[in-house]
Amino acid sequence: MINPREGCVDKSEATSHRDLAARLCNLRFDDALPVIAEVNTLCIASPDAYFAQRLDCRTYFAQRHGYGHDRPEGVFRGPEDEQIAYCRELCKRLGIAHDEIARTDVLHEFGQAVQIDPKTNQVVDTRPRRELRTIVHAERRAKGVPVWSSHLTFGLTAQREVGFLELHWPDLPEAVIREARRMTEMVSCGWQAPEQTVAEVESVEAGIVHTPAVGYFFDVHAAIRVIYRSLDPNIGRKPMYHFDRHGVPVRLRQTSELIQETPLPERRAQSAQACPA
Amino acid sequence: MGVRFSTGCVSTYVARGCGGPDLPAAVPEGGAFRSWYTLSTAKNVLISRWDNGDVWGSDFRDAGGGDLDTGGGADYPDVYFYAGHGICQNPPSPTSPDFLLTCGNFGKPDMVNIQQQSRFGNGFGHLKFWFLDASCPMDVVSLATWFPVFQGLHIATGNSGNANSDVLDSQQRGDQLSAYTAGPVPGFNFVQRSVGDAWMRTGLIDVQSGCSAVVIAAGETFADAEDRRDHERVQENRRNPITHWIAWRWVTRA
Repeated sequence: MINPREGCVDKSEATSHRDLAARLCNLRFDDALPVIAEVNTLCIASPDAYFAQRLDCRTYFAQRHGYGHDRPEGVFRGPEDEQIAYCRELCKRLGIAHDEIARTDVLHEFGQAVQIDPKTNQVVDTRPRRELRTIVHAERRAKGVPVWSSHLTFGLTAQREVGFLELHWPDLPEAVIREARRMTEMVSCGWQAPEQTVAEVESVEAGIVHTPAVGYFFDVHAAIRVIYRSLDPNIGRKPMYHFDRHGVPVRLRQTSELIQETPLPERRAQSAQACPA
Repeated sequence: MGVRFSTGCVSTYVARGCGGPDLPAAVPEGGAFRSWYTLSTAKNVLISRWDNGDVWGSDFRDAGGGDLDTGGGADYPDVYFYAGHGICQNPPSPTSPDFLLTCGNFGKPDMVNIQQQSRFGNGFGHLKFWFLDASCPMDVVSLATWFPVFQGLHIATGNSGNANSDVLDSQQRGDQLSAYTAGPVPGFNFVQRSVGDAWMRTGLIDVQSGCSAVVIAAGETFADAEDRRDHERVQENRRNPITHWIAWRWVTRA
């Protein structure tokens, strides 16, 4: 069971957290606001913004509440080049080596709406597609191998300040990187993915997988990722497996370990509409 | 104030000959989704948590009242999370229907034509938030046809893609969507977001290039629909929308 522990923060830790918020995101908080430690996070929050970090890995969260296409601080409407340059600058501030950035993309988020006549289900008015904001998304590689679960995602305000930021870029054990490189060799030497029924192999790649940004555990593994496609191209959601060097599926720790669920009996049909198979 | 929530997740397709390959992450994804709603101090209440053959096509169909089944119908709780296969058109057109594909031991057929058969929030229905992690059942080009589904339903989330731009079987989308929407959770209260913001951040986890995360909301006016799409949170307890408008937003993986 998790016991929240508030207030377990010494002065130097609090100062360091505030400095990080200022240095990374230009977020400055009133001295009267406390830095709160709870479970595996540190957070400082005001009515206008928050800045938080995980204590068990390099993971930061930041938000200006005035950020948004319909909010007072707006969204950045400048060129993509400028956002990519901002990303490079941010990575430098974060201490992320340039060669760890596998790719950086500017994603465009759109909105649209229609009015429908409920009697006829016909569209009677259309508000055309418009761009709501752009989001910068950076992916990671470590010594040449992809780290699928790491990312830097942020959006900028109209004044080019960080509107929101999520960085999940944990330190990786050397042994994991070494194993991932070994697996890369295995793949290039013709490692055979296990066969799946009614699906065929689409891609095989070695890399590193770890637990997500919001979570109570940090767990990381080298893995060979196999993506399969259904033999029926109309069936969506592709099977994806992460195997270790022995071809055994890799298992990451999960938040669900913290809750207890009893096994359920088989569900029984209770109503007439539930026709037997 | 908490919400009543359910999950229905299908990993096993092959053994029953339902057409699609197995999805080993779908059932654990349901567990991940439930864990945040359970750990939240919002006092959320679990209504049902069926997996594999115990998830039925009838749970999502209005006709016959299967969606109101107190033992697993999708229109019985306030929040329903589905993980499993969907059906994709390659490519979809503006009038293309969207489908879920279950593999049930009852409640046949397994295929659900969402726009034709799903009606949420009507009659005794409660569903306010429908979270679909099934690949294609929310094609951007055909979202206007979702209007009849919103009979009180506030917001639905999903993905738009095709055989070349698909979602990958992963626990992490549902896990993180849940963390962002469950209400206060120890250590991570600060991440609580609107449904729209949460899915725009999490709906592109483990998806292929060209696949989109999509959020759609209903409202009485254009402004109301947009406001719900962008700002409504699961724990807000807003009243059901009068559905005259639907608004959607989407972001696409590069």
